[in-house]
Amino acid sequence: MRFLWRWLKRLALALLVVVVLLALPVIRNETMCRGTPLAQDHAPIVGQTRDESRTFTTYPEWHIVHAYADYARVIAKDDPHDFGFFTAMRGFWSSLCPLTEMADQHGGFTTESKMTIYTIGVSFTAELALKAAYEETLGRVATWIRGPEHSTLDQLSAQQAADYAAFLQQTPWYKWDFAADAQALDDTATDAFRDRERRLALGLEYRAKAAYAGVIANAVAATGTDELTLRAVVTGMTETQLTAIPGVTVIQRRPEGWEIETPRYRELTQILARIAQDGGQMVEIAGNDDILLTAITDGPADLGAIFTFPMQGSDQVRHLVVVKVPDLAGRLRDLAAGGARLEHIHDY
Amino acid sequence: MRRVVAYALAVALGWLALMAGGMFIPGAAPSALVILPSPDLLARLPDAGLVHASRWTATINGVTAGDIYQSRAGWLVLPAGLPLCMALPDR
Repeated sequence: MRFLWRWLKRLALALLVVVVLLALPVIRNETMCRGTPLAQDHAPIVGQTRDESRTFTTYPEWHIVHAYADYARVIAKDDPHDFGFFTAMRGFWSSLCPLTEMADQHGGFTTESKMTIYTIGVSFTAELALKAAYEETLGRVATWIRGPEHSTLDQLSAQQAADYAAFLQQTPWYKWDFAADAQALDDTATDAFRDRERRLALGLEYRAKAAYAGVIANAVAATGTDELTLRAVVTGMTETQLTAIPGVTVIQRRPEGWEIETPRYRELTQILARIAQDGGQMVEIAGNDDILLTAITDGPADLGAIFTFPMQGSDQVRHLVVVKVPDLAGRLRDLAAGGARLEHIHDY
Repeated sequence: MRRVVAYALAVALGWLALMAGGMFIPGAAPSALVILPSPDLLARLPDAGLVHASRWTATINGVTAGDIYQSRAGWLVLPAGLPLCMALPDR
């Protein structure tokens, strides 16, 4: 009985420490990352506007997507313990601080968007902490026993990680078929020690995620879908040039320029890049005059970013850059000329 | 091995505790995911709207976490229906 009591006390203490550790970045963000609201000098031209602060609050989820891509790159060549789990966690919370300041300056967070970001941030941190605990200890020992060559399941899991990272670019994580991945491990495993270890460890992870994804998918049914298009105003191009861009619908001619409707998300990035390339200029997007983009350079570069960090598993660096919408097209042309690659424009 | 398992258990439970604790913040989430709901959940919470139900979970809205625990309508309440920026509809 005393033995049980002692272990219960230890578990309660460990639980308290974990809760405090997981809550610390949230507390830090709430207390130390505040921006002063700026007077908004831009009067929206179009009627269909979106909150400007959303350009900043949509990034954190992308940070997690990028982290999975980094993980896939690392384990394609090396082992899971070579991935910087704590670097990835730190990157999420460190980038959130300047983004919170910017969001506060441009209309502020809603309670719901803050809760979303904290929920995904704490969950991401907990997941990486669990993976780190295993891969840095038992997983590392398994690679010592295996030797320098990747096993069959090392190769398969690296491919699965790459496929998952690509999937996340366009689809929510809970739609991934984790059960199929677990089955593929069972079907492909050899009798080698590392394969048996990967089958057990990753099989457990995939099956736990499959169960959790099922619960989440049902819970997400409570969320209504967001608008899939937005309005923008563009100058410097003819109506014919604009309608030639796939996805763009010209709505009307305004004194300030052409009002167009475009798809959001990934397609918007491609459309805005094309407008810049064709010599056009954005006047406003969804009624806003500030926007966040991410750009990638080979090695360090000064792009005037609010946050910059190296991408694990490569020599590239990701930059979070805030641009005035009227300067966006010029900035996109400068990026290409300066050897930087536009990755994503975070719409509202 | 025992330490790794204990650490993993603490992280998992700590994560659950934080998620559940966050539900006490007013306006934290539009809906609540009730783990192990009581069979008469809607009778215990007449103001709740049912979004989805399965054998082990129920997603409801219109009530607070405090209401759910107070009426003993479920074992654990987690946030649900948070607006995910990448929750695109199927294409």
